[in-house]
Amino acid sequence: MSTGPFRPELIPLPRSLSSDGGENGMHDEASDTSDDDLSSVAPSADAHSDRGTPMDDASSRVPTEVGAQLHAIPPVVNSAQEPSAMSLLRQETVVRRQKMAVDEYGFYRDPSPTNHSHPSSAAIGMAQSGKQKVSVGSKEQQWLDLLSHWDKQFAKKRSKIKKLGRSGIPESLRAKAWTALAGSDKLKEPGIYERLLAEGNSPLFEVIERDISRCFPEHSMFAEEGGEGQTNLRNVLRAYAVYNPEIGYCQGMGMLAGMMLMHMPPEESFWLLVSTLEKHLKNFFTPVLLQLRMDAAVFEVLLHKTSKRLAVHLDKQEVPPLMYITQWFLTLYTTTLPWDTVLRVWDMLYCEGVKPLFRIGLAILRVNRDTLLKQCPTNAEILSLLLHLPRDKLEADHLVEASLRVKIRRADIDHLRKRISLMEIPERGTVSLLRKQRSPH
Amino acid sequence: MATSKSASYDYLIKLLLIGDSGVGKSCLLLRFSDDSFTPSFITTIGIDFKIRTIELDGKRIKLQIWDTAGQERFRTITTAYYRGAMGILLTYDVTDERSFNNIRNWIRNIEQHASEGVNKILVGNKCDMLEKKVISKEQGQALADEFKIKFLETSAKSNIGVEEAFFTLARDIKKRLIDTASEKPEKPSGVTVNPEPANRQAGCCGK
Repeated sequence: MSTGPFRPELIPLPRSLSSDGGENGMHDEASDTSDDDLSSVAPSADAHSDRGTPMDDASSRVPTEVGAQLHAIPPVVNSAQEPSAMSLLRQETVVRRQKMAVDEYGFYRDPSPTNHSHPSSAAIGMAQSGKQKVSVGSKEQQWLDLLSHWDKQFAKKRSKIKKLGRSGIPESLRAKAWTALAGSDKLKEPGIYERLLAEGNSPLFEVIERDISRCFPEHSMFAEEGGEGQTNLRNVLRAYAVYNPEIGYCQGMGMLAGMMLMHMPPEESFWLLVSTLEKHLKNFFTPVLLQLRMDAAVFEVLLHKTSKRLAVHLDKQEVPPLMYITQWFLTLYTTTLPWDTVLRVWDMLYCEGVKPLFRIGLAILRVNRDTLLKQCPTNAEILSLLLHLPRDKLEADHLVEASLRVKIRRADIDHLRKRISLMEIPERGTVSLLRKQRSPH
Repeated sequence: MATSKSASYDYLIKLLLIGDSGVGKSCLLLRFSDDSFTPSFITTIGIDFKIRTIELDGKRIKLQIWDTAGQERFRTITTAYYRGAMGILLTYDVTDERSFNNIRNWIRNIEQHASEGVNKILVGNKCDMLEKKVISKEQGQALADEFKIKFLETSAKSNIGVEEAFFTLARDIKKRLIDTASEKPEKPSGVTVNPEPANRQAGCCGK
């Protein structure tokens, strides 16, 4: 039994596919067949997708004891340095966690989960019935077929890819699929990652350092102070800061890199981060968070268009989208949604482009609409809800379906983005297409 | 004292937590609002928000506390929240000299973006970490004196000074906006503090 640090190849954990959506109910979005979102995604080939382990183990929903094999945490060895009170406390936490269970994604299952932990939908009693598992094998086969002839298939099968993405990519093929869809395997140049790490330096390293222990502290891969998970996270973020000094490092990127590291080795994670930030989150993390602030304005218009009454309520209470989508968008929902829902959102992002990012956000508002309208009279209640979302309405299939009912087109987003790009964007504060500039307070 | 779950209040006060990344702003807030501490806290992205209702001189005061991301580039977003704040907790980490030196920059930000006369308090957090402490209490006090603001050392982890910091600030704000306003007859003139009906429901989501 291994008590050493985590090896990337041991991750991801076995998981059930019971919440993967199946074939029914997810593909009925007849009005939405545009494939334009994929146009910016480079085709790539990864012909040798080896088939993953059979994913038929329903028992994988049952939390694993941490002591068992993969997730045992080695005792923290104190260096010669005097341990700080904080590190002693963290050490205590590690020891305590050794007795705790992890869920199928590697998160410690706290008996009293806080808003910052990630209970899966199973953990909140929303697991889907087993009938959907019937389609898992065929879904896996479909992905294998796609991935084995990626260059040829990619252009022709965009609609199919989109549909498959919406029902969830099988966990065994997720890393390969994300990599192929983002084109990061094509981007990868041998030796660059090592060179960036060996030669690079940046004043941002200090900023990165302060966030290392604050990215997924509840995940078994990253919980150990100075462990391999934290080292890999530090390396990926440092390499990126050196690789793209214009962006450098911005808080939120750690969550993205962390998610990637849960699925693939550091070098592959680095290149996936590069392509994700280039293709899907371009200019989101610039020093003035330009695209994020512009997309908050786009989001505001889309909300008015799709849910007028709610939009008016939030507007009246002075809750502009920038207040809540900052956390949602910059972490790609990793700090917002139950983990199996997060994975589904990522699947859709890589399969469809940026549209799901908006749709999911609008769907979150939609499923909480009645609460927001009836029980949240002021911005205090509204923000308490939106920044600490109750998990019960965010189960993966439920939210994905709700998002597909949000009728927006990629063309709407492109059009609004273009309109806003013609505006003069202030260096600070919110941007709005609907009214004159004002700041929230 | 009313708990954070309290449903009614007499006055609403808006507070803002600012300071460098990693000084413990979110931990201070969690200690104050939920009376708990966790070493495994996640980075605050953008803003966060918590509520606690306290009692001061027989009045129920609902504190709306805005927590902000510390990284420089989030100031493009967070400075928008300065204007509505009635009080600001300027936070540094007593084990981190850089965060202490940056207090001057944060004060400049306040001067630029906050309402005039906003109450401030300087908070040196992590004071339990004696072996790593590099900023003395005297240094903290001297800086606070220079800007004529109050000063406290706190530890969110050991629950030292946290209540006092928030209560001190709230009391100063009450004195400035509510007590002075109520000396005048009829309507309170405080632009930002509007007395709310005492039985107002905070709603189900109020924490």
